[in-house]
Amino acid sequence: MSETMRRRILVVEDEADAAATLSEFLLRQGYAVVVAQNGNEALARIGESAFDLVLTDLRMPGLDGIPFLGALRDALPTTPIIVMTGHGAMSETQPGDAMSGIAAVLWKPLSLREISLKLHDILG
Amino acid sequence: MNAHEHPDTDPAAQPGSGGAGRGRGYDERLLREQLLALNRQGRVSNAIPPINAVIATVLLWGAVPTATLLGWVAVVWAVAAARLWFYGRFDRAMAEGEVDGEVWRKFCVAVYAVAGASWGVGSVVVFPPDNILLQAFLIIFVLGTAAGATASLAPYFPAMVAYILPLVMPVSIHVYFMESPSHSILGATGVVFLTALVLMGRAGNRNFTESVRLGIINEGLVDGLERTQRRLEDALDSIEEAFALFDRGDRLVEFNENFRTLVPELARTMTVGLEYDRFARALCESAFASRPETTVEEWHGEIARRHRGGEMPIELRMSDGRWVSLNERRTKDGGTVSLLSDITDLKRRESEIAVSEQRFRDFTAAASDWAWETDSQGRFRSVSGRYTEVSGRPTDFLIGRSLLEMAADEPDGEWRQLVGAVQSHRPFRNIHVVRRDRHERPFHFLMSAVPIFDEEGVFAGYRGTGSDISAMIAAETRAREAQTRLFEAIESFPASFVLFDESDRLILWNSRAPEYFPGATRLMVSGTSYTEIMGACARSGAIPEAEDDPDAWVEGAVAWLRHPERRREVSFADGRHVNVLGRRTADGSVVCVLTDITDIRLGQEELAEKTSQLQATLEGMGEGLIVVDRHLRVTLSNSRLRRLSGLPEEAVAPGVPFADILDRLDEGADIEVEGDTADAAVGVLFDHFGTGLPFRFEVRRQSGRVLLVRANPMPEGGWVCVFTDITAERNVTAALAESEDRYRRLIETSPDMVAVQRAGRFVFVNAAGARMLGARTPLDVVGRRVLDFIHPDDHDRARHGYTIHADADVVSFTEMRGRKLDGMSFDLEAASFDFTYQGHPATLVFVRDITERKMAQAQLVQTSKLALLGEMAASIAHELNQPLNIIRMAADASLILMEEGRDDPENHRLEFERISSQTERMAAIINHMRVFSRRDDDSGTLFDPIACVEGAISLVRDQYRLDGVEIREVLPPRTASVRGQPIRLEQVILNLLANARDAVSAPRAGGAIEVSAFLADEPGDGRARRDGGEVVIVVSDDGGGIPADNLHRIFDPFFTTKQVGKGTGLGLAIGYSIVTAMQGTISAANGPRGAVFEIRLPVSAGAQAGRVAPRSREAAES
Repeated sequence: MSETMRRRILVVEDEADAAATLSEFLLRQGYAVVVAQNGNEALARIGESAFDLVLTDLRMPGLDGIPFLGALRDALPTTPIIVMTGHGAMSETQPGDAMSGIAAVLWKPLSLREISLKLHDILG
Repeated sequence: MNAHEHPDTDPAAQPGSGGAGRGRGYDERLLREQLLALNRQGRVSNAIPPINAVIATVLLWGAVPTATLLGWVAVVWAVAAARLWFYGRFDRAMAEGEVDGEVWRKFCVAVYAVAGASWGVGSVVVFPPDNILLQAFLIIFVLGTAAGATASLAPYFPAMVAYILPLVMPVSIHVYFMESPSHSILGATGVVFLTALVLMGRAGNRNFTESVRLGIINEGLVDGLERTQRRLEDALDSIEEAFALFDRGDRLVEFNENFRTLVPELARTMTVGLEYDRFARALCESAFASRPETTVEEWHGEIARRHRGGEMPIELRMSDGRWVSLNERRTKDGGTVSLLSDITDLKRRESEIAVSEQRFRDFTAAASDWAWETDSQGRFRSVSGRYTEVSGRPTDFLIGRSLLEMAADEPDGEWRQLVGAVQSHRPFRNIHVVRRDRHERPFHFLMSAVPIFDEEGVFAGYRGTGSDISAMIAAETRAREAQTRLFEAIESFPASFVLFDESDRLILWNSRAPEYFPGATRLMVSGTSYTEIMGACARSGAIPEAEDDPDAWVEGAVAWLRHPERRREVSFADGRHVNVLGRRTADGSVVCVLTDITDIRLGQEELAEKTSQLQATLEGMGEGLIVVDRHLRVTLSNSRLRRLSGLPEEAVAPGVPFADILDRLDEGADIEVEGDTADAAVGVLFDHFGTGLPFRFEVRRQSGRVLLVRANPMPEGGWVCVFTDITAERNVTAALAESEDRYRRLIETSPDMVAVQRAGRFVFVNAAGARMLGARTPLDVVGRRVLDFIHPDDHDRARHGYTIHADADVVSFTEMRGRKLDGMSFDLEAASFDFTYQGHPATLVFVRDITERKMAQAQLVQTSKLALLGEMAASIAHELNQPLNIIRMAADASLILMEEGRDDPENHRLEFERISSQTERMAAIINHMRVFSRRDDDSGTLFDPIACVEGAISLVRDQYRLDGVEIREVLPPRTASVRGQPIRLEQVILNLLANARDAVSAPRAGGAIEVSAFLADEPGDGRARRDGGEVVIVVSDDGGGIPADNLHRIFDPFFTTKQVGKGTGLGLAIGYSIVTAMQGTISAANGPRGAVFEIRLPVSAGAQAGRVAPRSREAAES
C-alpha cells in the first residue's frame, strides 16, 4: 500500500500504554495514526491535517466528555467518530443529540477485533 | 696696706661716711694696723739687744765676774728668742684670721716690758758702778737702744712705754745716785733724754694713727669713685634712649648700649672718638637704607644744619616703619649730648588722637543735640548747625547772647541752678531750662556743659550741648494726667488691686493692697518682685498654711502666677479669707484682685463641718439607720440601710413616710414583732409607735435575709430605727446542713464515679465508683492506691495528664485504660480537680466507664469506612478498567498477530510486558483496597504519618486528575513516627481529600488541593510542649471555605451539607475520634481561598532515633 492511499486515524487517549498498544495495532493494520493525549491536543491536530476517522476516549484530563465531542463535531462535521469509553452510564445519562454523528461506541476493555471490524465497516 | 686684702674689714665703717671714722670698725682697724706695724718693726729692733749684749760682753770681759755676765747675756738672748717666737705666732694667727686684738695687745705690752726690764735691771747689776766710762757707755748704750725702740715701737704707745721705761729708768736713777757729779749729770741726762723719748714716741704714735686714718679714707674715696663710675654707666645703659656724648671737638666720648637695640646698623660704627659728622651720616644711611642716596644726603645735611644751629629735635622715619627722634643738648664744657629715642608709639597715639578728634566732630554734627561754646562772660561764641534744625532759629539768634541774660528773662525752670553753676565756673549737666517764644509757647531744653580753662588755668568759657525736649515734656504731661486718672480709678476699686509687670515685678497697687500682703507692707514699692513679696508673706507668720514649708508655699504662689486665671484662696492667721483672682494682660503683666470673703467662708466651713460630722457618724455605723420625725417621715438614713433593705435611694429619701418603707419591706416578707404573729404586721407596728416606748421587730424577707429592727423614741419626738442584718446568725446552721445533704445525695446517686484521692490513695469513693472498679462497697476501694486501678501503660498519664485547673472554662476528660479489682481492663475517661477535703489538700476525681462507647465508636469507624468504600466503588472500577483495557488490547494484538501468521517475537514480548505491568498495577489497587477494608485491632503501631499521606494521595490522585482536580503535595524530607493505626489515619486523609474535591470541583473546574506536612518542634496551641514535637498535616483547598455558621459543628456526627445519599455526615466526626485517639488534634478553619484542615499528631518519644520506618507505602501498609 502506498503512502497516499493510507487512511488517517486520529487516536485521542490519555493513557500512554493504551495509546501505544492501539496505535501500533492500527499501524500494523495499514492505517496512518496520530495520537493526541487530550481534547485540546486533538483539536490542534485536526487543525493541522485531515483525518478519515477519530478514535477517542471520553474521560481525559482537560477538555473531555460531551463538550469535547461537541467541539469535535463542529470541527469535523462529516468525519466518522468512534468513542471508546469505560463509563457504562454514558448512553443512559447523555442526551441523544450528544451522540448524534457518533459512528460507534466501544466499551472498555476494548476488543481489537471489534475495532478492526468497525474500522473496516466505516472506512471500507 | 690695702683694705681689700682684709676680708674682715667692714667697708661700711670706712671713712667714706664723713671724716670722723670713729666707729668700732675703725678702732679695730687701727689696733690691727698698730699690731701689724709692731710685728714688722719690732722684728728688726729685736736684733739689736742680742748684738748689744755681745758688744757689752766684749767690753766687760774681765771687769765683771764672768758668770754674771754670761747669765745676763743668756737672759737677753732668751728674751729675744721669746720675742721672735711671739712674732711667728702672730704671723700664723694673721694668716688664719684668728687674731684677737685685745689679747695680742696685752701680750705685746708684757713682752716689751720683760725685754726692757732685762736690759734696765741687768745693766744695773752687771755694769761696775764705779767705772764712770763704763757707766757712760751704758747710758749712751741704753739710750741708743731706747731711741731705736722709740722709732720702731711708736705705732703702739703703751708697748713703747712698757719697753723704754724699765730700760732707761733703773740705769739713770742708779747712775744719778752714785754720789759723783759726773754720775749725777749722766743719770739726769738719762732721765731728761727718757722724757724726750717718751714725748717723741707720743708724737710718732699720733702720726701713725693719723696715717692709718688717712689710708682708710683714701681707700673709701677710691672705692666710692669706682662705684659712682659704675652707677653712671648703669644709668646710661638703663635709660630708654640711645645716649651719646660728644666733646667740644665733636668727637664721641661716651655712649650707651641702646644704640645696639635702637639702630643695630649703627652699633658697629659707634667707637670712642667717632666724629659727629660720621655719626650723623651713619644714622641717615641706616634710617633711609631703602631710599635713594639723595634722600640720605638731604637728611644728613639737615641733621648737620640743626646740630650746628641747636635746632633739634628732628624726627626720622626708619626704613622698618619705626619713628625715632634725635634730640641734642649742649653741655657746659661745649660738648653735645645726643639722645636718640623710639617714638613709634607716640606717633601712633598722635594719629589716634587726630582720628578721635575727627570722630568727635562727626558725632557732634550727627547728634540730635546741638553743641555750643561761650566765652568767659557766658556769651555764646559758636553754636552748631543742629540748633537751627531743632529750634527753627538761625544760629545767629544765640551768638553774642549771654546765658545769664537769658536766665534773667525766664523765671521758670532751673535757670537759677544754671546761673549758680556759671557764676562759680562749675560744670553742669542736664539742667532743664525753658524758653518762650513770642506766643508764650514754652520750649524746653536740657543744657549740659563743662568749663574750659586756658593754659594758665584762667576760665575761658563753657563748651556744652543743648537738646530740645519740648515734645518729650508735652508727652510726659499727658502721660502723667492719664496715670492720675488711672490711679483714681484703682483707688476707688472696692477690693485690693495689684499689678505685676511681665517679669513679675510690682508696678501698680491701690491703697488697700498692703493689708492683703501681711509682712510685705514695706516691700510694696515699685520694682519689688512677686517672689519677694510672697516670701515675706510666707515668713511673716500671718499665713498659717505657709508656716510649715514657706518655700513650698511660695513656689505654689509663683506657679499660680503662671496661670493666674485659676481661682486661689488664702487664709490669714487673723481669720481672714481672701479670694485671689488674676488675669494676664496682652503685654504679659498680671492684674491681681484680692477680695475679702471671710464671712462667706466661715459660714460655709461651719455648715460643711457639721454636715460631714453627722454624715461620717451615720455612714460609719455598721448598722442601717433611719431617723423619722414625729409624723413618721424620714429625715435621715444611711447607705448601710439602703444596702440592707435593697431599697433605692429615692425610697428612703427625706420626707418619705416610714409606712411606705415598711410596705416595701413587707412585700413577700414576714414581719415578726416580739412574738406577735406576722399578719397585719404594719398595723401592729404603728400601734407600737403610738406607745412611745422602745420596741424591736424582725423582718424576714423572701430572699431569706432577716433584718432586726430596733426602734427607739427621741426626746423631741420622732424615732431612730436601727436595722441589723441577722440573716447569717439565723440561717447559717440550717444552710450548712442542707448544702451538705444535697451534695452528698448528688454524689451518691451519680452514675459516674466520684472519688477523692490524697497522696495517691482513695479517701472517698461513691457507690457508682465502687461498682465500676468491681468492688461490692466503697469500703473495698477506700485506702487503696489509685494506680492499682490503672493499666500500667497509662500510669504516667494518670500521674500527670488529667488534672484540670479549677477555674478552667472547659472540662476535658482524659482517656485511659483502667483495671478492675479482678484485673479486667476497661476503658475510662477521667478528669480531676485539686480541692480541699476535710481541711487538707486533695484531688477530686470524676471517672466514666467508656467501654461501651468505645465499642460503638469502633463500629462507627468501620461503618464509615465501608461507606467511603462504597463511594469509591465507581472510581475504583474506573481505576481497574484502565489496566484491564490495556491488557485486553495487548492480548488481542498478540493474538491477531499470531492468527495472521506474522510471528514477530519482538512484538509479542512487548505486548506481554504490557500485560504483566498492568496486572501489577491492578494488584496494587486491589491490595490497597483489601488493606483499607480490613478492621484493625486496637493496638497501635509506630508508623510514618507522612508515608500514610502519600499513600492516600496516590490512591486518588489519578481519579481526581480526571475530575480536573490537581493535588499538590508539600511534604518534608524528614520522617517521623507516631503511634496509632496507619489505615485509620489514611482514612481520615482520604475523607479530607474527598471533601476538598467536592468543594473545588462543584462550582468551578480546575480547582486545586494542597496537602502539606511538616514537623513542628513547638505545639501550635498553648498546650504543654510534648517531647519530640508534632507532625502537622494540612489539607487545604480553594473551594471558598466553610460557612462560618457551620464551622463549629463540622465535626459533629451526622452533620453534612451534601445532598442526601452523597455523604453520611460521619466522615469528619470519625476523623475527629481517630485523631483524638492518637492523642492528636484536628481543627478546621478558613484560609484565604478555602477550607484548611489541620491535623497535629504527637511524635512518639524515642521513636525518631531508632525505629523510624522507611518512608514508603509498603511500610505504611505493613
